Amino acid sequence: MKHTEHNSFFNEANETIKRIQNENPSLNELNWFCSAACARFNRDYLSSRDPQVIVLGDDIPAEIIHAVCDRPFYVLGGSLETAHWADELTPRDTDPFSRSSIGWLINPEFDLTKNALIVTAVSSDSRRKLISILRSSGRKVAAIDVPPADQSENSLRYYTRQLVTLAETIGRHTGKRFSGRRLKESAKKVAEAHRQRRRFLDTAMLAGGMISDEAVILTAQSMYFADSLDDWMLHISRFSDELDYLTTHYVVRRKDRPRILVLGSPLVFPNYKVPQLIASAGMNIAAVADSLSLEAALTVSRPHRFNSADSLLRKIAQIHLSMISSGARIYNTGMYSYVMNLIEKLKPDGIVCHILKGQIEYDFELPQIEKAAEKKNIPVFRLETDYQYQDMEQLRIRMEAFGEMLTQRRLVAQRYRHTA
Amino acid sequence: MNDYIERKTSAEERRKQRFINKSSAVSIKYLRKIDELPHKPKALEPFMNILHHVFVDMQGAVKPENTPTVGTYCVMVPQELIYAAGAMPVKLCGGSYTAFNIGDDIAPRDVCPLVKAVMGFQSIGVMPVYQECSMMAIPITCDCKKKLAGYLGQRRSTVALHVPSGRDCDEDMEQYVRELYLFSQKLTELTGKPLSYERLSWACGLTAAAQYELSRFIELRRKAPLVIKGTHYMAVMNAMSYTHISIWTEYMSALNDELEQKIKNGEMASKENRPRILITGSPIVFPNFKLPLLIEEMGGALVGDETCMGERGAYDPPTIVDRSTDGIMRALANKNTRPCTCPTFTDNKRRVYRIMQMLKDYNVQGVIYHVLRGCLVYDYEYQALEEELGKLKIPVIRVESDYNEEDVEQLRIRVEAFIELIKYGKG
Repeated sequence: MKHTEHNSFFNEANETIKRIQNENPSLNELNWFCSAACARFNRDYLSSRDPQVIVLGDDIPAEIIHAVCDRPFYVLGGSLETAHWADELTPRDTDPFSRSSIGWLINPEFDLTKNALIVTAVSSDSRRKLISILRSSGRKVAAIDVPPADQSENSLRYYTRQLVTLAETIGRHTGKRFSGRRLKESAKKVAEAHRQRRRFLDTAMLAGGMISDEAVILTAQSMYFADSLDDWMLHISRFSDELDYLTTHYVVRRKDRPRILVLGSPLVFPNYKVPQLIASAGMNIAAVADSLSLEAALTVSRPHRFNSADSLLRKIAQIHLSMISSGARIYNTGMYSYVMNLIEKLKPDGIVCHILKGQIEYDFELPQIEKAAEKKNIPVFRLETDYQYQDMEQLRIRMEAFGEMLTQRRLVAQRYRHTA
Repeated sequence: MNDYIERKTSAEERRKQRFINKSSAVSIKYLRKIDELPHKPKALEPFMNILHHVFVDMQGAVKPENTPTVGTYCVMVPQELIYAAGAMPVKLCGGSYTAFNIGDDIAPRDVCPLVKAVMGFQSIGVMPVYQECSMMAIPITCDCKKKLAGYLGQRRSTVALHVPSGRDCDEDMEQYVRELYLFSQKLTELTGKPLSYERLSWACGLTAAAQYELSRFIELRRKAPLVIKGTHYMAVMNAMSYTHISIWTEYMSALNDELEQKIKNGEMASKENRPRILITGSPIVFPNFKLPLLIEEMGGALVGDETCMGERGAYDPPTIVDRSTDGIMRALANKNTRPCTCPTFTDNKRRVYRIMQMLKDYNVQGVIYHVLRGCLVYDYEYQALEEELGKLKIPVIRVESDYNEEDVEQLRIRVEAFIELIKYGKG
């Protein structure tokens, strides 16, 4: 009998990947995305990767990163095992996202930070203290401060200046000088990546029953896991073509299930508890509007990319400062308007507000979302959890009850339409 | 007949009346406990009266007539700027259990009790010290304050000050100076008094006088055995939040004179063999005085506190090198951020250095690290401090608490055991 090593770090990722592959056996191009995500949990890959730049969190504009770095390594938490590794480093009430992120960088298993510059934005309490922990452990960290107000000229100027300083610091580390030409090329590349991502999401929505929700989330999110953005764009384009082909040549009727909009804390691979629960409760995900999705939805439009480097930089800062969904803001108007647009466009049957324990900023925003959803007669379900799997069954019961309620509402609405 | 009249009042009015009754009762209880501590100096009375005036009589801040007040929430707001504009700063961080209970229904569950109390005060709207504020100034120092700024901003005239997470780069300091200029513009709109060199230097003079008295007081506190109880000291510093600085300075001067006299007469406030304890961590705001009271009731001597309700914001004078309006503004920005030991800053090693200095100055034998539930930034810094104190073989305990009295007995056991541990260690 073959000896199998117990490695919960790898197993967690492997289980999620297996589940996705079993649910989508006929999608050939999906395998590339599964491999890209899985590689990050492979010890050999991690020891050979040796990234120059590690991006902690999703708060820094990708245009700036890609202008001065070819292969950034994004650390976005997501792993239960890395969260466990950070138990000694962080207080009890730290949110799992931050806990897992620091576990990726300081752990007994592998060291990604040997030659790396860690780049991050001070967008929350945990982040500011993680920077302190990383610096005191001897890691090189370059951080930008995020002004909490998104409207004032002072904030914009300060943020723009911070981005330039950060880009120059990364440039010095990678040996790529930050220039206007590089920024324009990077903005073009990132805009194309975001366009491809949008095309994929639109195609996947039309493909309905041919691809599972978890596979859609993984594919869209793999932008942060892929080693090369160019490769990722090539594969996502092929994957969209594959789905396009399937929808034009085959008919798969998607079951008439309640459609859910997922908001709040980011859903990060391999912890796909929430989409798993939604699927098991007989519902479909209409869209995910967490901070990762919003970041990927931001694009500098074509006319702005032809402006001077200074005005392009200012535009990037402006878009990010006004639109980014993060606890860093006093008023999260960007996230709110994005959610409202999605509600208008997708007309979901329900909203699941996913809150990772300790991420109180999302909790603060919940009443505003609830109020807006109430006006549209959309029920909101607050789901608080962490990266542990022990609460799955309790959450499943709650989610099933929510799903049943939504199904009933749909039936009643249908009956009402028929009788009227 | 009385019942009939009562029923005629609205539910909201009855709720407000219940709040006033309950809040006053808690404040009276804690004032009495402070009052009953032995060796209370006579000159402490005015400070106790201020707390009574604000929390029991439900009156506004103690200030000259027709002076508008500006509510502030952290030590990063320069008092001088507000005094220069002809207004008075009132530190509004809440410590009320009653307001906390109201805030608990408004704020998310894991928010810190201090912010819940502030939200509770805003929601109930009966505390004159909060209600009479013409403007709120909130430095964004943590996630809760950030969202509090949003909450208050929708209800009151509010200025959010962006405090840079770093303070060693010129760019960060420039940003804070710009924030202060924007804040001073708002103050001018409020009071009609423009920012000028004369007014700023006059205000700096006011705070310098207070700092002089405070430094006298700190010098007296260093004496062993103690000349004033730590809880009494905390009451003095809490009273500063609600008093015009010139009035507070006057009271402080009288207190210092009395303490000097007591030292001459050999009338000390504690015995020499009492374990000397330092409190650090989350702020202790009146009436939430359960921890300092427990320390002193259990036989400890509370010799110092490194919290933002203590001397943190008032200790360092501004260093003015350029005698101009801009020079003073820069000095104020520097004074309110660079020496500050608030954990909002990414690099906060100076807090450890400050505590090390205090350990030496006050001859501290044990440290109590106070963490308000949900106050994550202070919790993060515990580990580093624990390591440093371990090297010095100074015992430290982390005490997590909330704004209620349910945990008092558990805390009493822990504090008692800690004090015994220090005594035993000495023996």
